[in-house]
Amino acid sequence: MTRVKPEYRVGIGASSILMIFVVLCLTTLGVLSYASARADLALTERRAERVMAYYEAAAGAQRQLTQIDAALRACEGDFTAFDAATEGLGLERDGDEIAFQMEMGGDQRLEIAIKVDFSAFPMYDMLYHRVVNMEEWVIDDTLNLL
Amino acid sequence: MNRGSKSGAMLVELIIVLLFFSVSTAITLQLFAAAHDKSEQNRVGAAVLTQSEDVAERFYASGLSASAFFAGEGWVNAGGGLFIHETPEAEFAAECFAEVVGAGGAVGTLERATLIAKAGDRVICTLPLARYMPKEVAP
Repeated sequence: MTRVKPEYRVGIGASSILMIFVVLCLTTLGVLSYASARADLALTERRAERVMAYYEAAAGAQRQLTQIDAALRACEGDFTAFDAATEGLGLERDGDEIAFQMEMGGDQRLEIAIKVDFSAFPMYDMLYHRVVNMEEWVIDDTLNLL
Repeated sequence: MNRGSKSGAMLVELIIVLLFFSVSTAITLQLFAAAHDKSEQNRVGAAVLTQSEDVAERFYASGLSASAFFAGEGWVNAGGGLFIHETPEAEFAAECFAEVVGAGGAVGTLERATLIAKAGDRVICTLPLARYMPKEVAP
């Protein structure tokens, strides 16, 4: 009795399926890398907008300081005259401390405060010059992490 | 099925697979090229933005007038308060002004500059810079 030896043959179908699989993998990787590169570029463009907004606000603050210094020199130690001269500039004065803010858009603003000393030149010292986020920080405590 | 029709079917299958492969490869290559292009734009944009911020912060910290600062940084003076600096990837231009505050500079000077950074035809950022210098601290 002779046994018939089974014939194993890899046809064109197997290699086709493998090739299709490889091509689909490559396409998926291509799409993912494109999406990632696009997201990175959008993030950089957003960062550029924020940087420009910051320097716009900082330049505005310096212009404001120019007017404040001119008013301080003109009022010769009289804060009432200073308040009258700087009305409309959006200044908040508390004693010898003067604060003001510049909007940066995107829920951020630049806050500046100076302390006035009429006996010194220049007549003020910078107390702070800071970017503040106005967006309320909501803490997500739904997960018990500890 | 005879031998002829079997090999014919195989040939058709092979052609379809090759066609699919070539179309997909073309699309995939385009995708990779576009991804590389965007990634390169992002890299250059981020680097140029960082350089611009660096220049701006050094200007604020310098205590010099705008034109003296950019001249001291080795930027080329193109005349009319315009300073230019070129790197292999980007071109920077700074237009400097000085606003005298008060009659005869009795109060101080507002040193201003507009810093424009470009990579190729693309404007990466335009930074308005200003620093008020009371007359007591003006150089």
